[in-house]
Amino acid sequence: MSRSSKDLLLVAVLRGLAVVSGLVVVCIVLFVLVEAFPALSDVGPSRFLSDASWHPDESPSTGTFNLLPIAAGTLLTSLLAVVVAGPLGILSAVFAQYYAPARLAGWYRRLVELMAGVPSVVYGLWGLVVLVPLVNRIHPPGQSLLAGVVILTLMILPTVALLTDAAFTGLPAGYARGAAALGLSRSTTAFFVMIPAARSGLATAVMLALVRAMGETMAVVMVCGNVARMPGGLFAPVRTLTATIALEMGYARGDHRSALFACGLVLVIVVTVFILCVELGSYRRPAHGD
Amino acid sequence: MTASNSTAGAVHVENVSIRYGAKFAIQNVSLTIPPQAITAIIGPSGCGKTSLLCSLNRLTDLIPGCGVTGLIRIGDTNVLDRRTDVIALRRRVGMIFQHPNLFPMTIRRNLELPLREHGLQDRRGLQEQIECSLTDVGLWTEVRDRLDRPALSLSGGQQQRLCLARALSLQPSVLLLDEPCSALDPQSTSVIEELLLRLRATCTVAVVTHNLAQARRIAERTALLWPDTNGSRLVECSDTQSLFESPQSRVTEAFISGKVG
Repeated sequence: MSRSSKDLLLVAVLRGLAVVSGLVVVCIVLFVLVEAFPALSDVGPSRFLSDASWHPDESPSTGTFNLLPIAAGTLLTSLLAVVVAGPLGILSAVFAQYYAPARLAGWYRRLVELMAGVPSVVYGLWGLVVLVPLVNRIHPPGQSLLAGVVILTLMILPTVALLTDAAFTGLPAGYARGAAALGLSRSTTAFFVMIPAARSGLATAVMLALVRAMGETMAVVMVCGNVARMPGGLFAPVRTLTATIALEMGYARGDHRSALFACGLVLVIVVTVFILCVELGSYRRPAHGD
Repeated sequence: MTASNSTAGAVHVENVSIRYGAKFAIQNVSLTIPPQAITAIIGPSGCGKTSLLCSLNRLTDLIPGCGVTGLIRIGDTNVLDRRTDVIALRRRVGMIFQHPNLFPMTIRRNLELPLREHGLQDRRGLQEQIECSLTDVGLWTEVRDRLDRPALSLSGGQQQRLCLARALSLQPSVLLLDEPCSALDPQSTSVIEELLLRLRATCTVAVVTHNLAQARRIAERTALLWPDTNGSRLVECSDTQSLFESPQSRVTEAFISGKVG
């Protein structure tokens, strides 16, 4: 086989793979759309926003289908978790990259990787046995928005930390040398040179963490209490979209089943919107000073 | 500039050896870089010129496994002493690299950051210092209207002059340049050279260069490093004119005539 025909073959294979992976995503979204369609047409989108509560049933006339409380549950748990885990994860990466001695940084990174590798059901179990009773002591019942936020924070912290660390590692060596040659201190170098320089990588890190938090199911089911009501505070139980799907899929039929796919659709749309926001932000944003 | 300031800028290097792990880059180099003059450091690629330059502001600290021994004095400062405040040292010893290394922020922010770090906080003072350093390097008229544009949108020559402005804004007494013009076109090169010639009135200037003609054009003194079996050594260090016209060593003679290197 000549060189150029080898190249052509490789290009063909790569194109094929790219098309397949693109198609998979499209197929998933289409599938969710098709499955959600009965509920969307029988119940109607407006009832998903205005019904009295979330008590779905096979037939649209007997069930109520208000998605807002559970969508709020998803948004609140994951956004609050990102608000806490984002800065902590970035600080963790700053420590590993610019403060820790090389050997300690190596061990520290391994530890964070380990943390990322712990299965979510294990986090959930720990949350149920340790965290929920702790929260209960402050304010019953314990299974609450707060417990969910804490668990999600722990779960996405390594995502932020590792991706931010990788973003710092990817910066040109000239920045560190240049900053040192100007007599900038470590903290100035880290916070005023490196973090601004790596901001698009940081945005990606936070974005992926947010998406992971929104998609997380098991640990959230175990600690959040799963009451499908508008969250009334940090200590109130909440239910997320993913938890709803996981809890009800086993017995749901008819429009109820379809309504669960509508939950999935909402999740896909919200995630897409967040990703688009970050993409647009990183294209438009010029190099700002402060 | 007062007399004490002008001597404060002299750089004395005594028996300095630099090694990376077990491998020596330079071995037992001694030379003096006098104040208010330009000293060129020349030699073939990989002979440790950059290592020598980086040891003068302790930038070698950043390289894992790099060890520097010997004595380096800049004014009263014992550079290699562990107790030396490297931040203060690097403020006094500015450095310019082969490739411009501006930060990915606005032109203004690039200049403000080191000034703020070293204690200049008020807006008026910052603005004045920025204008002053940009004027020094002949950039003020070119960038005055776009101080808030990204620094990386400037051309290569402008970026290198901005790096120089940034280093000069801290009013260093020593300026180290590592092949500052090798990535630039002849026009930008001559702008930088003229600038260096003006700077030597206030600064001790050491410039590593591959360009022998550049060393002849701008340097009062020239030092030649040459690789030996275990690390490079200093072959010759004297007035540029005598080094080029009556070299004391046969290595120097061969190098400057282009027979080796």
